[in-house]
Amino acid sequence: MELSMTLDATTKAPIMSAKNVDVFYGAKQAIDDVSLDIAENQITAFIGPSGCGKSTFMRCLNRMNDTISSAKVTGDIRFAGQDIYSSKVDVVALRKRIGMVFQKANPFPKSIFDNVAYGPRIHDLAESKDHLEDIVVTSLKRAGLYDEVADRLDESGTGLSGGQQQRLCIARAIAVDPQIILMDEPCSALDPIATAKIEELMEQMKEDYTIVIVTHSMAQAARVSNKTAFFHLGKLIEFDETDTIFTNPANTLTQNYISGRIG
Amino acid sequence: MSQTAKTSVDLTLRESKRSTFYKELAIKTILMASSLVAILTTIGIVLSLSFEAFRFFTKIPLTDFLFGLEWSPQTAIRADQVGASGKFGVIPLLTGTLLISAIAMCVATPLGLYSAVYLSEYASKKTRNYVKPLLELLAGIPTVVYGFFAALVVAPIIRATGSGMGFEISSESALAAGMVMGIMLIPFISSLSDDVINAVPQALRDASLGMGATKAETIKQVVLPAATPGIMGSLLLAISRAIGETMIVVMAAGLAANLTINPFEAVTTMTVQIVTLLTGDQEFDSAKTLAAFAIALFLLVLTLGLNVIALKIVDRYKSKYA
Amino acid sequence: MPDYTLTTSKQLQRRHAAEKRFQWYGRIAIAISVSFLVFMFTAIIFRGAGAFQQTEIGLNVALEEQVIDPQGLRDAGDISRANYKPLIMDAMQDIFPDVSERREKNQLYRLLSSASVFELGERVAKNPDLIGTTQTLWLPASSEVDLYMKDKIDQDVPEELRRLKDRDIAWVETLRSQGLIKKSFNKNFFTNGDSREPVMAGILGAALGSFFSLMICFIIAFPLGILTAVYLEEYATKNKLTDLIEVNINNLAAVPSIVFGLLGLAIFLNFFELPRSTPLVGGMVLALMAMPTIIIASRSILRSVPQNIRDAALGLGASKTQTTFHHVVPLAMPGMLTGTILGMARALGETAPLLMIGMIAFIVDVPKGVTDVATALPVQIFLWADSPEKGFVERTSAAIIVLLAFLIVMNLTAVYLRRKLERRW
Repeated sequence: MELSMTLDATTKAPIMSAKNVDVFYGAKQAIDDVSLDIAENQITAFIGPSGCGKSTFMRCLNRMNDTISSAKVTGDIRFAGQDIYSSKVDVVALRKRIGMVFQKANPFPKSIFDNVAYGPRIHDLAESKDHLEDIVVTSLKRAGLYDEVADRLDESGTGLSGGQQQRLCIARAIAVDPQIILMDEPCSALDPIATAKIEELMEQMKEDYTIVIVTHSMAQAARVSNKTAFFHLGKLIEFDETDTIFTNPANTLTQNYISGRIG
Repeated sequence: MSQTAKTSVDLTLRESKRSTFYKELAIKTILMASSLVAILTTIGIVLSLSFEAFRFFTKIPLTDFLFGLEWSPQTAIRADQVGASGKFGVIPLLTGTLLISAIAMCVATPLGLYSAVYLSEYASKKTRNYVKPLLELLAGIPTVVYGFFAALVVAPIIRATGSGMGFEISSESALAAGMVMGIMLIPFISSLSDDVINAVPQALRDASLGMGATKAETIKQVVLPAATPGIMGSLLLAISRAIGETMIVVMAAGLAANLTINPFEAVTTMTVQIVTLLTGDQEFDSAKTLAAFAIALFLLVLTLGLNVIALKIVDRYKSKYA
Repeated sequence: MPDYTLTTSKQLQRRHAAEKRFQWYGRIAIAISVSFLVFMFTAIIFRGAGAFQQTEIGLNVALEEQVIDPQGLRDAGDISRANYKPLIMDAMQDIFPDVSERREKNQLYRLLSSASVFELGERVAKNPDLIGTTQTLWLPASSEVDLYMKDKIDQDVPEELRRLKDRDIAWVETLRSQGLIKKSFNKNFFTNGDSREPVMAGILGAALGSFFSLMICFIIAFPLGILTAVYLEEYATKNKLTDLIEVNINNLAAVPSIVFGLLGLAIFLNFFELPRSTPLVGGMVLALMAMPTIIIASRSILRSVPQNIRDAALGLGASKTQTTFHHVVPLAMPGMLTGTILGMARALGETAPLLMIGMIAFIVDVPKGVTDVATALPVQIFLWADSPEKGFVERTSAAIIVLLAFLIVMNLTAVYLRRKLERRW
């Protein structure tokens, strides 16, 4: 048992793997032949200059690109071995497993409680009222927000500060108990203190979830992630352990970006 | 350059400046005067209605008008005649108006809202480009056409259906007028709601879809609640439109002032009574003719009140997401 | 072990079914709205198309001089006023020789429109050479015969409840078998004013009434509307007065149309004592109604003219007025014209305010100017719709078709103007 677990941690198949992924917006190619694996219970960061396709690629992972009618995705993306673009896959089920937190905090114009309860309600996860309350409180606690809002759960979520709103969105994502959480530049609109809080939170969340984060800040990637992928002009230039990428990148393009010469 | 030449240059400049100044002033005055026509129109409406209504209230007490439950505006030919003093209670007219408006809203609200939701959230651009103008066409058809259609086609159908099911339905039932009016109101609700729904930020939809909500769940539980104030505004505007609508009810609703909420019965409305009182023979000073102005004043206050509230709601909603 | 399933579960099936249902509600709502539109149009076209045709009966009329013009003076007035009834009855007698009783003869005569004697009189007066000859003349049939020929009489109704009796029908069938009854283009509908008799009623009077009203409406509303828009967009500074004007314009757009009619009645008719029932007053009332629409549309057009055009003109030393009227207004003109046409199209369909100022009277004469007593197209529709005569149902629908045709032409013109002339910035 002990042995198998250790073996598991090192040789286990990645929870998500992408092979030869291309994305087109109409005639324009946004992603060009990207292949990479995402390991379970780790933080994978996507970095690169703006417009490099890192967000576009991330939106392929839970098929959010489906909502843009001109977007076309080809290639092979697998979640736990299943082709997520297969016709058998239910996109609703997929997105329940792979949650998402957006660049700009987007709480619903509902109460804090209803914001977090939204997912469990639509997915019918709670067996009773008490259970639902339990889910909401646990999610808020995991998102490190509970202590700040415990006495005003019925107030509107839009009334919170920017950092609190983003943590509310994280709590909302956690509440449906996903396996992977995709974070699209979650701190770009936040001040350093709020950013630090969220980074700390990610470190804790890693134990239960797999996290993919798109970030504009190299420092953030260096601080929080285990692995880092560097994108440039729609291509994946380099993907390796974060330490390696930042100390000893193999590609000169990566080196130039890390050292601030491009971007 | 000599000294004199310099002065003359200065002078011409000043002169041309002066004539330009007067010209500009004159034009500005003309422009302002024409924009005052809008104010004059409002003043004209308010003054003419209140003046005549005031004369009406010297003959019939205001409380009799506002709270009276009976409406029979015939004036006496002989002083000792039965029912010599007409009854001028506005309540039956108000309930009739509200009954027909309520039926109209029952038709227009689901049709208009579902159309707006489908067009803004589901329809392809091509479908939208074809269907939207088609719906807006409904608002461009003169109401006299709706009235004719209601009286000639819809009312007999409703009557026949009713008697087939064992109901006695009046040929001038509130139902026929209300249903056709409802169709007319669809575009008022659908196009304003469409704007309002489109103004809901995409980020909210993404958040909901991103956690595995279906599109319908996203619309019902996130988009529509967020758009509610704007939608309420559009509904209020439609109600105000329904209350002031004249031709459909003149042609398809009745003249009898029944105090009822039964949609199968004939009711009359404020606008119908205004038309009835003021077309045909009229002596200008009789309570009967003056009553039309009192009703019109009442109608104006009602519709403008609804309109002001509706615009306030819509404005506040717009600034929320602007 | 975490759950990795991505396929559809029972619960998801239910949710997807709800999704499908929701989409269908939307489709059904649109389908109902659009099919109502189609239903209304087809019902009206179906009912109205017949009115563009009219039934005529062919008679060999001997135009005897001693009946028409016994003195031989050939005075057009006398000729048109002569008594043609016996001549027509004689011609009828020729076709139906076995009808001899007086009452039956009168019955036979009633197959023709009562206006056919006047029509015959006018034709002879126009062409006096016909007098003394025998001519095959096509005269308008009565409304009942017209309806019968258009299959619009329900023969299952018991005879005593029908105006057209079985014997009348037999006569009409005889005429039909002899080729003496036909349907031809209904010229009267387009050249006559109103009439109590459906077959003689036309829309020219109403159409001209509408035309004159719209002319007045345009003359007043167009300049006032665009000048107001120019003032509010280009000149006005934000102050209490400007706010008041804006609030007024927005509220006027929401005032029920009938209230404008009362304004016209109280101010234009009773206070200024302008002539009642005339396109002049009708046009003035419509202008006040159309103005908010025109102002609101024109303002948004003016707002879309880029600021740099104003800056360029002002920078060259043009005055505010020069900038506005030489550069901004000409650029905005096509758009403002489009808005005005749309506002006028609305005014064309308005009925209620015109009822209030008396444009509802029964008027046979075709108006010749803005101060002639007249009615308007939508009011004519209302009047005919109210008429108990069955023959008017068809004509009401036909008048609606004509009104809608005008509206479509105006709207298409507006669309064309917008496509062709309007600039995109």
